[in-house]
Amino acid sequence: MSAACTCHHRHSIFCILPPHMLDAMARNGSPAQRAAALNTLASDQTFRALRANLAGRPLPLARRRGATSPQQRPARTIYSAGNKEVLPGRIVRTEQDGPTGDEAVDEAFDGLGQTLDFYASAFDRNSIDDEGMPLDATVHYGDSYDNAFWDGRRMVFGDGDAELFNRFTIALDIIGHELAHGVTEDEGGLIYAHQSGALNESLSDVFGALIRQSQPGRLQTAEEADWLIGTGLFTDRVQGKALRSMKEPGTAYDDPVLGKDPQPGHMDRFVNTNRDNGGVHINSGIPNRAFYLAATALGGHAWEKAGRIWYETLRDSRLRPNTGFSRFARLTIDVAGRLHGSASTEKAAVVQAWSEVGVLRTS
Amino acid sequence: MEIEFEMEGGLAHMPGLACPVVIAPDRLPEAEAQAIRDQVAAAQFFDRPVQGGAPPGRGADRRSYILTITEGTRRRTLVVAEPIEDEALRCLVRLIEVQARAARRRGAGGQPP
Repeated sequence: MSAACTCHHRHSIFCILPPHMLDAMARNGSPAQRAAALNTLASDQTFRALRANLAGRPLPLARRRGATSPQQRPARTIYSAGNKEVLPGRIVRTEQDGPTGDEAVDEAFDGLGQTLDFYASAFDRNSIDDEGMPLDATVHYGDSYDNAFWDGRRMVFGDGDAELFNRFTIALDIIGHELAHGVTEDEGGLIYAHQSGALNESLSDVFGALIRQSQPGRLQTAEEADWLIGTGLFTDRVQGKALRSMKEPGTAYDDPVLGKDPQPGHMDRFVNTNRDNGGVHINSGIPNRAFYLAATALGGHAWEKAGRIWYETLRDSRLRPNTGFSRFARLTIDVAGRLHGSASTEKAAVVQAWSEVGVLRTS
Repeated sequence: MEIEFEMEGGLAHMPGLACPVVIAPDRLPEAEAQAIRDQVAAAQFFDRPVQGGAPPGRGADRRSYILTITEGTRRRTLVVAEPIEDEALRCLVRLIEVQARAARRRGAGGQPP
């Protein structure tokens, strides 16, 4: 069992075959032809997603004007899907309502509030679109649904299967992670495939982690933080501590059912695969560790320096939808120089961080 | 009938969950096997195009599924992206997912359901 193909070979003929021929080969071909055709179809899925992103760009979120004044916290609305796969579901809590006693509902409501407060206080950002966009989230999605996602308009959380996963609202950094996908999308987006997709994932982990570290009354410095993503999500039956480790990618879990955490922390172990949209949840370990290294080198609260540099990079007009690790690294270095000076220790720390994970190669 | 099931992507994309699982309905209790056969028919699985759902241009952390079903001389593979709008196909994916979970538990040394 392996996480992904690390030595991917694809016959060139599959690059030019139309889908209906691949379809036929997938159904009627020899085992080798089937495997190759299916691999190509999976890859095609990735590239179709890529094209869809490009074709639609710029695709800023539909603005809902006049939602709030800059001083007001954007309105939160929590829906319940009632354990069906319907969106958005029925409204179960709004700003006018108190706690419901339903853990998932109240965690989502509070988590969105903490996330909004973080963006406002750390980056002076007013909601996902910086224009006070009201936030919607759906909980109790699906039956024993082991996932949470951003659907382009709202955050969606499953209850977990109670065997491997608890409810997905249990971890504040997961709520922050999903909302951060909305922020990334609003800022122009990083195509959700391959290196740009891994950066997209990494940015969600970064801001999710910072939100957890900045909880009022439980503030953590970069040195104090555990840099784990999704603590509490696993049930007691799982041999693991979290979904991912930004500090030590590849060490978050090692479980008979889930397998071993496949994340690399260095470019030498970059995983080439067409699965998982080109390994977006796998190779995000590399930029995740770069952020951890920069944040701990700079010390203090990670959102104040490293977080600000990464956030300004996300907003930088030079960040293209297909930006890869190397370009992103150069942009963070440039932004660090702009914010703190070209000879600053901050810029040097960012250079060192990307060098340590092998994204910046020094000859 | 034989079913090969793969799941990939999602916030919790993990190698153990992404690993293909083969399910033989004939080896399941009759009621479960019949439910799967009925849903394969209801979803008109063998009459669908290979791409069972277009990947969305926006959003993140959504999962997709690859289902290959062999029945006699017929064999078909569908790639299905979430959210699965088609109810019959969604029910089929969830039915098979339940069996895949049980198979993974057995493979990991857990107790059969």
